[in-house]
Amino acid sequence: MKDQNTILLVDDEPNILLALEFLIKQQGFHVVTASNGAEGIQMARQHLPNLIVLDVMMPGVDGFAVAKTIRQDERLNHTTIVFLTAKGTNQDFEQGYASGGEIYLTKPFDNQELISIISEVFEFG
Amino acid sequence: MTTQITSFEDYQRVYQDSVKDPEAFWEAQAETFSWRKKWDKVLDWDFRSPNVKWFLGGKLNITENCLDRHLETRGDQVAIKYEANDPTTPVQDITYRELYERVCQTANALKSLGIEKGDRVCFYMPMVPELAIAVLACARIGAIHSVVFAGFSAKALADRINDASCKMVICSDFNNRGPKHIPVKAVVDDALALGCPSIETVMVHKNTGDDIAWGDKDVWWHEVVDKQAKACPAEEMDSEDMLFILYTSGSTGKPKGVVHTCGGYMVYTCFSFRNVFQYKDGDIYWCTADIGWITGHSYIIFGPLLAGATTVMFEGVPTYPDAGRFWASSEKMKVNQFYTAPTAIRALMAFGDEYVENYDLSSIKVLGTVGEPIRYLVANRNRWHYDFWPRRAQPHEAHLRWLSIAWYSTMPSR
Repeated sequence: MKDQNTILLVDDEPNILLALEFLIKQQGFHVVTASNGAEGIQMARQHLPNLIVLDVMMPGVDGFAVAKTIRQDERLNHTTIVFLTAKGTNQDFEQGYASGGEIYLTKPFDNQELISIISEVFEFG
Repeated sequence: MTTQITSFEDYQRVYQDSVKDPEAFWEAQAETFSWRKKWDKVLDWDFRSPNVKWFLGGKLNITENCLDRHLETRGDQVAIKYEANDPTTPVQDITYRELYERVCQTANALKSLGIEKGDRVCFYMPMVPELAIAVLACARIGAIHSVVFAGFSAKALADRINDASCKMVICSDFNNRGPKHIPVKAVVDDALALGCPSIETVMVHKNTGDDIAWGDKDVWWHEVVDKQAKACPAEEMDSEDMLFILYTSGSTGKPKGVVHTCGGYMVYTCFSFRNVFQYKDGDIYWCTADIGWITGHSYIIFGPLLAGATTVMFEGVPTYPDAGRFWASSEKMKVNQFYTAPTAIRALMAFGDEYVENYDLSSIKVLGTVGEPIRYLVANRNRWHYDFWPRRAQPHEAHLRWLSIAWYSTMPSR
């Protein structure tokens, strides 16, 4: 079902993906997952998620490339992109914004912080 | 009405009053409301239990303060301005008198469906006026509302219905949210299929008119509400009776239902609304939150209506049909107080400044934010928050800045 409020999680590290899925589902959201960038793009096109939590450093298509591809699809113009990454310099932030992401969280992040941000995205549109 | 602070000196004086003798201060604020019976004691609290009770022994109904007491003085004033998802849909204005009548009709409908004082009613609805109307209708008859964000999953909805043992769900057929057309009633059906034995009735508001599956518990809103009388006596509630349950998004365990009671919540939301937003009669106030969270309960419905304000309800999202939607709608409705979250601003910032520049935002006097602090932004991007938009909104008002709302932890609750 495309027209459903959905969050897409993209991370190549299975344990992180599982933990994030558990955490976000627990809040009440509908969640789908992808374990690499190419799959992330495909899932985004299939589910048209409201929000994508996107790892940056992944083999093959990295998170910035995923974001750029997603932003070229007008059906995904309204999707909020949250980057999760260990790269936290100002230059990284700028690269993240330039690729089309709105929110940049550096690892290790606080679960409550991520949940607050996700909730706000849905609460305030 | 509660005290209205009008200057910084005034603020310092009121603040000193509130900390020197908090009970006398809040008692004076409470005196400005309609009570069926005044309280015997202002406050009984023990943070270790924890146990906090306000205005003990007081009897009231919050809807008499949101509606009845305004009828004589502002019956024809707009209470709710409704901006639909589709920007070409005309703004719907609902006056205080019309709101009173529609709340009473809905309250009578709930009673006709067997809802009584103390029963729990779950809401799974988009941001349409009927959500606010039915929330107030529950409060009118002493039923406890539990609003679940209409973007949560069927399992989340079922968990919340079962935790509160809700007797009824009120939902819409479909929801328009930006470009999406979301099957709301179908999610309710899925939730009930997971097992919600306490639910006796599903009342469905026809929002879009799309076809939906129909079960033996389902009733149409318009079929039960429209025929009802436009007056309904308000149930007398104790100050510490439950007003609503709202589930938190904690990071561990199952969702936790936070209970707000009638008396303290009423006094605090009205006082904080009037003073934080510096609301003046005739202003148009817009909080962009969803009523599925505490901000929407307190600062779209109860705070503004207690204060006799004009409050905007918005069905859509800030990026539809484009990233100028907030500003187009603010210009159209001549919004005076605009209240949103850093997350929304950050998302809009990514679309570029041209979406703000196209609109006349000179009506905006106060910008409010809530939630996370304004951060995560590299230095040059901070200017969007602190300089760019405020200057666009009101170039001659040097004092116009964001007000950050960070006092939920002090909100009376138990």
